[in-house]
Amino acid sequence: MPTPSLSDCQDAFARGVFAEDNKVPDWIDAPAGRFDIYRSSVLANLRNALRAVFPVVLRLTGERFFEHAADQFAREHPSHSGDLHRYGGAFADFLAAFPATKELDYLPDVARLEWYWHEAFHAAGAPALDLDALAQVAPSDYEHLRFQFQPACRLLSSPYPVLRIWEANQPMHPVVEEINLRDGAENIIVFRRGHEVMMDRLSAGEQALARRLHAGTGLGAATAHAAVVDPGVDAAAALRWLASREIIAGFEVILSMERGD
Amino acid sequence: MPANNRAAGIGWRPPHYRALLDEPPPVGFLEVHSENYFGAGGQPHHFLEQARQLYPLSLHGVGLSLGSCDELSETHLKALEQLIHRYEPFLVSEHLCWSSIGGRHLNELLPLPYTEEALTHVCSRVDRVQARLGRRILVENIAAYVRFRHETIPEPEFLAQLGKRTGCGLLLDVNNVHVNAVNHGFDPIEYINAVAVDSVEEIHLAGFDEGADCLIDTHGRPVQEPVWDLYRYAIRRFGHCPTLIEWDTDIPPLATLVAEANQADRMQTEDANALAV
Repeated sequence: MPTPSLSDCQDAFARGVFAEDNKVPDWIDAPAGRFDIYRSSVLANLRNALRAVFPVVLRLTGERFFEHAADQFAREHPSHSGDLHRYGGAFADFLAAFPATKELDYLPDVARLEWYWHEAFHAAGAPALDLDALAQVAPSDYEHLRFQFQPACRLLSSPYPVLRIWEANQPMHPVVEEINLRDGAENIIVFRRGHEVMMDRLSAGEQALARRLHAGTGLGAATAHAAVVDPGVDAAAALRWLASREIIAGFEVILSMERGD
Repeated sequence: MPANNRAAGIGWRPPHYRALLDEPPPVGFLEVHSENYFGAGGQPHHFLEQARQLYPLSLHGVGLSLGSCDELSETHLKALEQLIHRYEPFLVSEHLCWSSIGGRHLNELLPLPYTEEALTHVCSRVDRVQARLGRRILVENIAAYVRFRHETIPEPEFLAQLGKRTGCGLLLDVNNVHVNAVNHGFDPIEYINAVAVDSVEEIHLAGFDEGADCLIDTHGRPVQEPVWDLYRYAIRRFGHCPTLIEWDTDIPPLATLVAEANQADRMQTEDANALAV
């Protein structure tokens, strides 16, 4: 038996762990079946990481299906970090393309919402908005205001009532209500107050405004865009709401040079 | 109650955040898996910061992939460096293992073949990690379910060489010694005797489960009798060491963990008294 190099050894070991046959490299010195401990534990660790982040997807699909999907996901989407909290960002897209969940159109957005919740949970905190400084801005500069959002903030628009689905599948939720998938689209904002993750619904116009502001567009252009999406949008009220929830954490006045005035 | 890391410690896990902060139990220190605090903020840090006010902290890494042939992850080292800066732990440890290759992480503690090539490789990695973090680290022996036909160095000898060449300390997992001794058929006392007396700077104790044909290091049960016996033998040889009760699955009430830690303290005291007589 030729002696394998350390890197060949690690390569073959890793391939052996994910292989669907039961072949074990011949330089492994162990009774039959011992290598399978790694096959099970590696998949179980990855599966448990997904279970922790996607409890609602788990509840909607059931143990057996979830396990099947998680193991398939593990084979197709390798973990790229020694920090398991980073694993699973592609699970929503995977579910969208997974033949067994094609019927469950809403499932990928539920997974997306859970991933955003997870990201928000671990995100950095943000300083409170300096309202006194904001009051100093000249009204003529309002349209040139650019806001910084708290790092936890995520926006999700779904054609399905995914936040209602999420709420109905929380362990503390009293009764399982029937949700009509045709109840309509939801625009959801995920954010954090202190260390608590919050989720709320926005109107289409508010969501359009929040999305543009979140991307760094100035207030004037963002408001104009929101009014096109929803002529009835009350941008001032939406802005006050974003500030009162401390979702807006900072601001600057865009310099005229950058505006191209 | 001023916490003193001469007494045994316990893991800091979410089910006990509140209970431990409300009524800090008599344990010497807390240990966390470093990667659980790689996030930038939120609840994990909110609670860990409060716990750190009460206890010394040990950072125990599970994901650096010290023995891998892949490049060391700069992202990982940076996150660890920031965590060290934020919490000023008294110990920082990692495992003698690999967990990634070709960019793919298996997120499991995988065994290294103990060869000269692996020794040289791990030494250079430990050197770089210690230089990068600006401090010594401890390296822990893992439970391994397979060995390699081409190995040439016994594990305690590998660890001794690693310590000698890099200056790193040893985190001796007594449960892993027992589990490996049963699974691979060696004498655990001989193993302990082969470990250099002044190299051990922390001891881990945990519970194992019985698998189909071998013991499995599950960290989900109380420390079992043969492991306590081996611990008693180990502290006689190595003297006092910060000792941790590891319990990561099916986490019991806080009182159970504290009782296990206190049991370790009693053994350390009995042993010191016995030596004094």
